[in-house]
Amino acid sequence: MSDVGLYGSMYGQLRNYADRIDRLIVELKNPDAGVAAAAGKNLAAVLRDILDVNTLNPKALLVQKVLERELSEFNGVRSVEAIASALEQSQVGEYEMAAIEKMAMILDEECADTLARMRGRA
Amino acid sequence: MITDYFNATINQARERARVLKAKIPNPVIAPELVGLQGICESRLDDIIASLDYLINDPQINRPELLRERIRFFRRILEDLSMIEGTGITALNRIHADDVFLDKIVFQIHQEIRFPLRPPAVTCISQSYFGIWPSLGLMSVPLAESDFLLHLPDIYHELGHLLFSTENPKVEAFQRQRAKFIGAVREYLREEVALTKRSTGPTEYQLLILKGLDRSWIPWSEELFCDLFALYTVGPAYAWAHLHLTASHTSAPFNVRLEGEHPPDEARMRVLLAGLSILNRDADAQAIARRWDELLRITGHSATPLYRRSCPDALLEQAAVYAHEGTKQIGCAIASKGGRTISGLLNNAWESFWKDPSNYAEWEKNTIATIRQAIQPKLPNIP
Repeated sequence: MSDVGLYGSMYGQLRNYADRIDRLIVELKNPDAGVAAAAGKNLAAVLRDILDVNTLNPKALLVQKVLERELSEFNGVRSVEAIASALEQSQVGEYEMAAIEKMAMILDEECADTLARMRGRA
Repeated sequence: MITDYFNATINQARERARVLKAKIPNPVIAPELVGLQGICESRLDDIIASLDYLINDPQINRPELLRERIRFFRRILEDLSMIEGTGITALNRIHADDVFLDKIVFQIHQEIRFPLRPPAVTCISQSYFGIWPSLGLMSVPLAESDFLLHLPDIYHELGHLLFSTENPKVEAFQRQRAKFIGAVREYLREEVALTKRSTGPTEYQLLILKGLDRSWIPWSEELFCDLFALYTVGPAYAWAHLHLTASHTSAPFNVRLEGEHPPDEARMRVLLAGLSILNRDADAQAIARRWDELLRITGHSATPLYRRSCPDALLEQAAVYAHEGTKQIGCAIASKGGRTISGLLNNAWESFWKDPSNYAEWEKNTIATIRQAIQPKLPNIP
């Protein structure tokens, strides 16, 4: 009935993806090519999970909607598909990296906003 | 350099976590809060370990990863702030009212066969009932333990726990919600197709439908928590919803596309549909009568946007799916009479409507009797 329960639940879902993506970015930037390639494949799997238009998983759907709304400069979620492919083929250029960073920032900001609403700060 | 600032601040946060750990009272004076004590200690250990990673790990300390390091740090700091303001505060001000409600929640947990660990309760909420799933802590307003009419909301808060964990014991409930989301998306796809075929400008309508596609994700959780409460406590929950709406909400048909809560009218509709599933038609009629009266008096009626956002057919489907989910996870469905706490909360509402002017006296005496029966005689509790 209160905001805390619902926002707390949403926060947990967003936070899970935000932490996973940031951890994988750290590995993606690892100088060891093997570590980076493995991280790329894992990150691609996370992105494909989010992208699945037929998903009924509320956690993935929530993140999908957030990215859809905020990723306009990168052509919305359609660009995420291309990024996932680039990650799978270990062909991550500047554009892909910028988009991945942008996604991580969006999720981080959404986490902060959700927490602020949960605490009645927004 | 800003890196020096972050290095120093991360170290300071680590020290704060250690200080907070020392502030967790030991031994805890009420056994009901031992679980919370354990969770707080373990969460603080996780926080300290995460801060150590940010301080010591050579990879995360590379200059090109400063952004990631800052993002991690801010989120860890929020965790620390949350645990300080809720769990550790609760442990530091244990009051007899907390213990009383802890016992009530434990009893509810037993009666409805709740499949997860019962949360601890603290009376420090500044804004109605709430639950912090990561700490297993329910927060209620300071005076709530002296009143009965809002207590059915405890069952709703328990519902949020069912969505905050990956646990095979509750997967069936989560699956039913996912099925319901499927029904919502199907409905919205049809609405989009209809809108695209219609004449005249469609851009605004399509924008609304896109907003609804997003809003229904949190709305579905809220409605499922409402229905979980209804199915486990009975009509008292629908009365409590009427009670809250009558005293706090200004616009029950308001569709807030960026808001996470569904319109109050939609919540009442699912509850009435749920009562019908429980074969409590007389209760449903009595509640619907009062609800309609409330809407009439306050001058509210359904708007076209409300009708499009929350069609009755969809709300009825939510009631069916949530009922299945509640049964599938093994929770006991509310029945007339029987269980102690749900019986008490339903009796409270019956007593209220039977004789509203003398209800306060009845409630006071009833609570005094229950307290006498279950209140522990623990030393050092105010």
